[in-house]
Parts: sequence; structure tokens; C-alpha cells
Amino acid sequence: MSGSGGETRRSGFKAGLPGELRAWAATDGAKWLFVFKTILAVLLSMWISMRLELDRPGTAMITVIIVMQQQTGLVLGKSLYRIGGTLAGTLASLVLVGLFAQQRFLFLAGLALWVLICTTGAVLLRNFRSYGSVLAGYTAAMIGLPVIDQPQTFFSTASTRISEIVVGILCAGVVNDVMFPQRFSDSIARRLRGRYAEFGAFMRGIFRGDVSPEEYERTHLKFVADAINLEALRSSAILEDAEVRARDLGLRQANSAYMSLSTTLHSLHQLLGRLLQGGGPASQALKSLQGLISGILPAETGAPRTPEEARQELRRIAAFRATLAKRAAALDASCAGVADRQARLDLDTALELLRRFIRELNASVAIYAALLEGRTTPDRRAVGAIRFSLRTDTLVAVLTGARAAVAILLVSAFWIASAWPSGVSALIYATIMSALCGTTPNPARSSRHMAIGSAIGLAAAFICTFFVVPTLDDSFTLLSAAITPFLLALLCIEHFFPAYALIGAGAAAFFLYMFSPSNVAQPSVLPFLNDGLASLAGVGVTTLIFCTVVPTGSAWLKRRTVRQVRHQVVVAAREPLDGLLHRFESGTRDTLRTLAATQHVSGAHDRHVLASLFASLELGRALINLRRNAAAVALAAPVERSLEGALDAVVDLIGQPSHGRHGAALTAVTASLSLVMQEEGQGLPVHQRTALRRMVTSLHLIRVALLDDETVLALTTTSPVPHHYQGLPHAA
Amino acid sequence: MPREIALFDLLVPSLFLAFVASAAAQVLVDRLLGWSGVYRHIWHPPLFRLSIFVCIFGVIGLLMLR
Repeated sequence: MSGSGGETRRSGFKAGLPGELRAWAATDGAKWLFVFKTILAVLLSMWISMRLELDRPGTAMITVIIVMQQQTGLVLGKSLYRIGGTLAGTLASLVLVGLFAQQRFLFLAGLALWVLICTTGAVLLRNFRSYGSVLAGYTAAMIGLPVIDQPQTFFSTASTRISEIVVGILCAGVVNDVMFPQRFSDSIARRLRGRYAEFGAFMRGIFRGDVSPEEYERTHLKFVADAINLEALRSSAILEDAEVRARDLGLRQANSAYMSLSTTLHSLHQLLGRLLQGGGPASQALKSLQGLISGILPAETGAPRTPEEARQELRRIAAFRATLAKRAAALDASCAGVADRQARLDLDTALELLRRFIRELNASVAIYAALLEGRTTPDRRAVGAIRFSLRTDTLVAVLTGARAAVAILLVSAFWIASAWPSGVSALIYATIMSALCGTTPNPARSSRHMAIGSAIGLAAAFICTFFVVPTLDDSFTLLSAAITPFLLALLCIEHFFPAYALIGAGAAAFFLYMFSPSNVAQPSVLPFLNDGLASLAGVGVTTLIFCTVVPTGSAWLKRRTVRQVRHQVVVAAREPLDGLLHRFESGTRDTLRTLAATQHVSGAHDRHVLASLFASLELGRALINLRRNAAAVALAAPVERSLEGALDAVVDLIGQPSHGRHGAALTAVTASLSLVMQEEGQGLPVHQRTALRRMVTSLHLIRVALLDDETVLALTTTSPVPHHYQGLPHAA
Repeated sequence: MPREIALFDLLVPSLFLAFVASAAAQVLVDRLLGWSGVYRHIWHPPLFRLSIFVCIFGVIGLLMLR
């Protein structure tokens, strides 16, 4: 009996083995492969640097660790910016050494200023450009500081450093590209598929009603992060991968459609929630509308994998659209008895939003299908029209730069005041860390992790240098064998424990920095410890400064973000209509970059930032639609004037919130709503009536949003208010 | 051909110039091959690309140092 049970289990095991292996290869297997590729590239760079008799093979090895990326495509981009950043940093240090070789105060002040400029630039720029800017900042310290006492050796040091870095870059690039390359386009396709499946599950959850508010916030934040990440990947892949370049337009369209769709989904969900809560006369019809929606949502089977499956999905949506008019009419008829004009308006608005939702769903599935087939949908809009708009807060950027400069100045002051022999090491490492961690979403946390990692790396380097290497013969093979276990352990921390990735990365880099195999004789314990501990002290000071000077979690910064998000409504109401929709959608999401990168909603402030995001998206979208439809038809002068007035009133409310302005905005919106409705009642050609109907629904949406306490609070306050606060009084 | 060349008064190995030149040549060849669709028939394009580069660099370097 038990034997037969074992038999079936074994055959099940055998049958499942290929699938399990494939799953392993796609997840953990890929990580192991990457770790081994990294180690191979590190050893290769060590060998080449030693053959070329460069001073510090360690620099080349660290470069490999920094430049290596899972996807093949990214290495080239990162390398190009790394070389550019290094050259810029070298030039800056040449200028500094040339000008102030005998004036250490001026030299250090100049260095701090340079790092300030570069770090500010790094916040203003994105992706690899930002990375290149960071590098330009700290390379100046790495090359300039050690030679400050012997300026005449500057050229030889600088040229060896650059050679080492280039060797590291080439090794990383070749190993990554030639050995089991992970194609970039595959990873983008996988992301798109994952996003499709996730979004489908989210939609089903929403309309089933089993998504808690916290989960709703979290998922939306994840969608924001997805949109930003896809844009980042796309913009860096464009440099190198021919296939991605060919599909560039499709990827832009996919991202744009995805953002519009998620906004519409939010508006629809919000509207249904508000109307059902009220329990008005139309609520029965709205409930059946909700049932209607669940018919359109994608099935649970996950994202389509082949173009054929995607086309099937499109056909399903098309079939639903064909019957939508009839179902809407039936719904309308069921409400015919309801005399309440307000309730009819609610229902019309919900139906209009549903139509928009289905239109956008259809568009995104179509783009997805086109991407699967490898062709781009013919679109009249040029690529330039779909440009992800970046919103960076210049003041925050300058403050980030200033914070790095403060760290450098503090360590320099201590160095000069105490005449600390190892002060140079401390200063170099403090500069590296303040530039590197200062630009991360959460500098305090990342520099703390870096500090812990550096301590671990120091211990590992100590053991390796003084207990392992002296027992070995003088051979490259044995040296490699000595380093490999250490690197393996540290890199595994980096790749298998994502929460501690920075600890692993910092440890691996610091290990190589301290270990620094060289062609010269054995190092001695004392200078090693002096250098190592001084560098640790440098990291420690940086961490302290990141925790104290303008911490990113501060309420002030959150308030600024809220104000920035809110300003997007003004953008929606004021900027020229051409390409505005995508600019608005991407810009609004981009303001939440920091929060999206940490993916961590904690406390009332974060929740308030998210609430303002939702409110701005909802209101802004309605404003843009209103303006678009108004531009499409010829309106009577009084109607146009009243629409202008409504827009002005909303902008005023956002600019300087007050009870009076809230009332004025509501009155203005209500007034133009009734004017447009009158206009709609006259016998007009069909397309004009459609545009007017859409304007009515947009105005109604704006009005409903302005009547909603939570939305108004999110739009008018910059920090969360206690719950007992009653909000602005209703003016309608 | 001398082993080192003065480039803006900076002595650089002449092989370095050969390296840069072959990188430039490789970019051209790469574009050409990509445009003509040769890569579609190749099992491992990155390896092929690297080999082409090694060939170009080897030829230039050997010719220079002959």
C-alpha cells in the first residue's frame, strides 16, 4: 500500500521535475548564474590588471562589482556613463590640484563645492545619467586627495586609475555579454506580462469589493512605481538593444495607456463608491452596473502569452462593447421612473466613465497585442508626443547636494583640526558614501546599510589578508581561490536577501577596496587597520548626517510633495492641450518617485501624499477631458465664459485654499454644469451632442469631487488633519 | 611603428590607439551586419561580435607592431 503510494509520488515527482527546474532556473538559478558571472569578471579583471602591472587591481575589481547588472543590455549604458563620470571627475580634480595644491582649505572647499554640484545634478538627472554625475563627484576625491601631498604624481595616478576603471568595465561587459546573456527585451516582456496579470487581478478584486483601503493604496503605489520603472528601463535600453529601440514607440504607448487606464479605474471606483454610499434612488441601477463591469474584466488565467491569445482577449472586449449600448439603454430604462435629475446625472456619469474605461482597456490590450507580435500600432501621434514628463524639486536637489557637502566639510574640518594621519582615508570614503547614498530614496537607511556592510567587508578583508593569503604560494590561481569564498558569501547576501542588498554590495566593495591585491609585498597590520577604521569612521559620519540634516522622511519634504502633486491640477487646467494627457499622467506619478521607490506607506503623512495623488489624478483627468471636449465643439459665448470661470475658480482653490474659494469653485462648476446641460438639450448634430454629454459628465465628476470631504481635504491641506476635523462646509 | 606615441604630449601605447580604432571599426561592422540581418542567422550574436572585434584588433595590432 505504502509502496504504491510512494510509486505515484515518485512518478509525480518525475513528471514535475522539468517544470520545477525551469522555475528554479528562472528565479534562483538566474541569481546564482549572475553571482558566478560577477566573480568570474572580478577575477578576470584582477588578472588583467596584474598582468598590466597597474597599481591597484582592487579599483578594477570594485568597478566590476558596481557595473555588473542582471540584464546584458544595461552594462554598456552604465559603463559609458561610468567612463564619462570618471573623466569628468578626473578633470575636476586636475583643476583643483592645479589651483590649490598648497592651500588645503581652498582645496577641500572646492572639493565640497564640486560634490555639491554633482550630487545636485544627480538628483535632477535620472537613471544612468544620475549615476554618472555621482561618479564625477566622488572620483575627484578619489584621485585628487591621495596625491595632495605630491601633486607631481597626479598624472600617473590619474591615468592608472582610469586604466583600472576601464579594465573593470571591459571585463564586466564582456563576461556579461558573452556568457549566458539575459536579453533585455525578454525582461521587459516579462515585466509587461506581470503587470498585465497584476492589473487584471486588481480590477477583479476592486469590483468584487474585497480590496481593503490599505491594499488599494499599496497596489496603486506599486502601479506608480511600475510606470516609473518601465520608463527608466526603456530610456536606458534605447542606448543599446536594437530590438527595444524598434519597439520604443510601443513601450511608450503601453506605459501611457496603462497610466490612463489606472486613473480611469480609480475615478470609476471612486464614483461608484461615493454614489453607492449615498444610497440614492439610482443606487439599484448602479449596483447592476457594477455587475455589468465584472463581465468585461480579464479572466484569471493571467496575461496572454501569444499574439493569438491577446487577439482573443480583444475580440472578447469588442463583443462586450457591441452589447454595451443595449445594456446601457436597459439600465437607463430601469431608472426611467426616477424623476430625480441628480440621480440620472449620477448614472450618466458612471456610464460615461465605464465607456471610457472600456475604451482605454481596449486600447491597452491592443498595444499589448501589438508588442507581442513585434509590431507597433500605427498611431498618428509621433514618438515625441508621448514623452514621460519628469518633475524634480530643484530645492530638494540642492539640499541633497548641500548635505553631501556638509558631510565633506565636517570630516575635513576634523581632519585638519586633529592632524589625523588617516584623515585622507576617512575623507575619501565619506565623500564616496555621501555622493552615493545621498541620491538614493532613503539616504539614512542606505548609508546605515553601507556602514554595516563596510564593517563586514573590513573584517572579511582582514581575515583574508592576514590569515589566508600569507599561507599561500605566490600564484594567481591560489589567490583567486582565496578570494572566491569571501566574494561568494558577500554577493549572495546582496542577491538572495533583497532587504539587505546594500549591506552585501557595500561589504563586497569594501572587501575589495581594503583587500586590494597587488604586485607589491605584504601589507602590515597597523596601516591596514588605520585605513580601514578611518574609512569606517567616514561612513559613520555620513550616516549621522543623513539621519540629522534634512532627513527625507521629514514632514516638511512630505508637505512639499503634496504641494507639488496638487500643482498638477493647475497643470491640467492651464497648460496647452497638445499631449497634455500623457504629460499630466506621467508628471503626477513622477512627483511620487521617492515614495514609489521605497514602496513603503507608513504613517499619516504618506497616506496623505497618496490621498492627494488620487484626488489630483481624479480632478486633473476630469479637467483635461472637459477642456478637450470643449475645444472640440463650438460653444456659445456665455457657456464658454462660464467654463473659463469654473476653471479659474478651481485653480484659485488649489493655489490658495480657503472656505470662500471652495464655495466659489463649487458655485462656478455648478453654474456651468447647468449651462452646458441646457445647451445639450437643444437639437444639435450627434457628434456635438456626444461632446456636450461628455462635458456634462466631466463637470459632474468635478462637482462630485469638490463635494467629497476627503478629496477636498487632500487637495487643500498639506499635512494630515485629525479625524474629528469636519472638513470644509458644503456650499451646495 | 614606435611602441608609444605622444598624444598631446602624453605618452600612450600605440596599441591603445589601435584599440580605439578597432572599436570604431567594430561599431561600423556591427551596424552593417545588423542592418543586413546577418545576426538573425547567428547562434550567439554577442560572442560573434566579440570575436569580430578580436579579429579586427588582432589584425591592426599585428600590422602595427610587425
